[in-house]
Amino acid sequence: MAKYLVRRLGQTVILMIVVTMATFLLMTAAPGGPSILLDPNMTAEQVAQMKRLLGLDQPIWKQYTIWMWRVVGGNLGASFSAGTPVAELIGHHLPNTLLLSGAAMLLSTLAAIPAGILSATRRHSRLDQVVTFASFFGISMPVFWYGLMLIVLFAIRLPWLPPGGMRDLQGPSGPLDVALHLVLPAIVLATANIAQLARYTRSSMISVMGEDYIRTARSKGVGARSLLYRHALKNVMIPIVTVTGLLLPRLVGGAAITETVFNWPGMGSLAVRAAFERDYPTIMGVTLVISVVVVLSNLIVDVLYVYLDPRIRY
Amino acid sequence: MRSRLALARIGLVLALVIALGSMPTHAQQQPRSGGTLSLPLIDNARVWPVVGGVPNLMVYKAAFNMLIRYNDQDLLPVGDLAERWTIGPDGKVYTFTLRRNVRWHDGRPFTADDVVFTVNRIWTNPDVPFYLRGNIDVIERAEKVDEATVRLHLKVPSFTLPWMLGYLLPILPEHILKDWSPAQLINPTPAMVRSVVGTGPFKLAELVPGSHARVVRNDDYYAGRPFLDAILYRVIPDLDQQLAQLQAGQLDFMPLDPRQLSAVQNNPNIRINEARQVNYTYIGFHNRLDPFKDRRVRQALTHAIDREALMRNVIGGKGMLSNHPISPWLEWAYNEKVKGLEYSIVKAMALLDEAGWKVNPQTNIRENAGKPLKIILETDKGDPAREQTAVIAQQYWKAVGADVEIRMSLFNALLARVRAGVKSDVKAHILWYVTPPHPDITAYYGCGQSTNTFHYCNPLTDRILAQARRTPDQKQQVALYRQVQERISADAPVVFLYHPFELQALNRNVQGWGRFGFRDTLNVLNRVWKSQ
Repeated sequence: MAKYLVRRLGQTVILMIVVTMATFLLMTAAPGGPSILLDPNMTAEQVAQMKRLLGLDQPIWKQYTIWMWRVVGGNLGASFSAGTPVAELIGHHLPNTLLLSGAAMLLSTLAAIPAGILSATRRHSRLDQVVTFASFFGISMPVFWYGLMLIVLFAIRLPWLPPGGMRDLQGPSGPLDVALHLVLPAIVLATANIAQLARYTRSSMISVMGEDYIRTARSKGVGARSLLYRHALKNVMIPIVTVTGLLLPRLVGGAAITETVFNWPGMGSLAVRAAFERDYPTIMGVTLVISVVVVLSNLIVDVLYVYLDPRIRY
Repeated sequence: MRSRLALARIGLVLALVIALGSMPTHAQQQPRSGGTLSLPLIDNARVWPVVGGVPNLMVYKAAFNMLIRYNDQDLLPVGDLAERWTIGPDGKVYTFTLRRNVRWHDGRPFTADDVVFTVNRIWTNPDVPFYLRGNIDVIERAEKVDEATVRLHLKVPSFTLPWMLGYLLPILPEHILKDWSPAQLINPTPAMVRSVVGTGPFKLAELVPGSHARVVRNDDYYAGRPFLDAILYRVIPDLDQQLAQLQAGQLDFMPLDPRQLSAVQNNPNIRINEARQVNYTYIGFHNRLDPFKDRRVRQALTHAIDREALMRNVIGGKGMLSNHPISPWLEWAYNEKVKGLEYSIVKAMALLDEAGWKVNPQTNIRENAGKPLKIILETDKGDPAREQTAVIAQQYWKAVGADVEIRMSLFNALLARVRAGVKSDVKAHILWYVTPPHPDITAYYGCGQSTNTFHYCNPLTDRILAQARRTPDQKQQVALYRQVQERISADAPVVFLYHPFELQALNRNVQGWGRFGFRDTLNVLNRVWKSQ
């Protein structure tokens, strides 16, 4: 296991270099360039001067090497548009994203796994049809529209919840206030995952229930409840853990639309703004952090397999 | 019977008097102190006047003052940190008398040294790529006469400088910045920015990336204590989210996109202002490239568009038609006699024929020397008004025999290409300009000027513009600018479309808000107050 982990971490480092190199190339090749160089009042001379001050006059490979060297030294540079150190920006935004995606993850597993199991054990019943319909509805709904509808309904027509942001900036703000702000974006972010997870749970459950060992257990006279929870569930969990592992990085980096619609100050909205502004240091910093999360979550999934299925060995 | 009627009459009158007396009238309301004004930012604010950007200026305007600002009646320059100024007879020396009762937020007095520092070490320092230098490149240097007097020496005579000084040029504190390097002056970290003090009505209190900036009342403000306790700037990049926050009462102001108007028009808590702003939208041509080199082609393409209909459809008619770059809000300089090039397909076709572009009956496209009249019209993705304008112009131009292809790209990408100088490959593009409230348009239409993205050059117009700058007499100056407006309108370097109103949605309890665009109201935030 230890040897396996060391090998995986070595692969991770190589992967990081490839990912950042590709991002750097794509980013600098994209037309336009940083907003800070595009003020309509600036002359060509001032633009050139600004480029020199920011180090943008160097060849691409050199800019990348300088960036990489800084990162190795623990410095992610400073944002072009905000002037803030990128590490500080990420430090502000990452916890917010983790809170939102954690809440969404919790919500989706709590809702999806029971729903999937119920609809698998009562196949073709009215309940199964409702779950199936809701799942497809959840998967196909565009997030920006769904989010706006919830805002219109629950923040404007019925002023129960705040329309966006993370806390009330004009009054006392405590955990309850943050929780109220969390409700709508967490529901929106969880919906698509609930739908997907419920579908996976259902089909995985159905296939496990058709396995020989379930039939054997049943013929031995094991009760329905024990059959479900002791014999089937753990096996059902393997594909679910895989899917959850795949959803995890999406929750950290890919909540861009939900975060933008609800003005949640997280990594997704940070990445979107940085991309629009061509804020190179921020784009690189966010990419690096998200890639690390992706690789780590894959690693965690692989380790979980060992626990869930004793036949798997590394 | 009679007395009953009389009684009834008296009763009616009494009721009316009581009703009138209890009706609130705005004129009677006394400004009230207290409260927080909440404004939106589309991105983090740098709060640093040496660089540009709208979120940036929205915050720094609360914390800093300029030498001169524009008054809120007609946008003419009035003293801000300068109490008054005189111009030497040759137009090359300006003497400013500074206010004596101004203090920096840290308590240090504001003096001539601060002005001299700002001018010599930032505005004119070749090592600092200060983004607004183009507007004030006539300034050679500043000289301290005494603690409260500063002289500005110009390279060439200019009588239009006060208007430029009122356009985003705050004075910065020498005692804090004197040891900063050029790199630090142009790109300070937020920690450095937080150490800087201003003289403005509000002091920077909080700067949280991705969330908000907060400024709080400066009790020692030179023009008296501001009414508001604080201004909270909330970072909200998404316009629909801004609208939701406005409806929920979490924002007190936002500039609306015309398509958002219907959502809040009938909301009793929200007031809509059609604010005047110095701003125009255009279809710009690369005047050095074919077919736009030929003035007749440019004129024809303007004649071909029903600009009034376009404005009605694209921004709901919320603007004024534009015939040249001078804003109709500069009433003292605006030449209302210039009617522009009217919508006339006949004239458009005649001009194109005259310029040698004849219709090929097989394709219905005009050709000149075997080359078809092909126009690639570019604009930025995501702005509904400009996207629609592109499609509408395409239809109008097709009707007179041009083959028009629309290209959309991201704003930054388009801007970088438009601003690539004479070698720019953008031949026709739709964008807009916000300019100082003065008819001196040399920077945008003067031959070879760095912000002349149209590469338009008319030596005679150039001479008139240069002469106007050197003319001390206001009347003569205006007469020259009126000529400029005629000439530019006739030359049609771009299709002038419209001067849009800024559609301001304001919380009903915001009072003392100016009549001009928010950029100008932000200069007098000390007068804004909130009623309950």
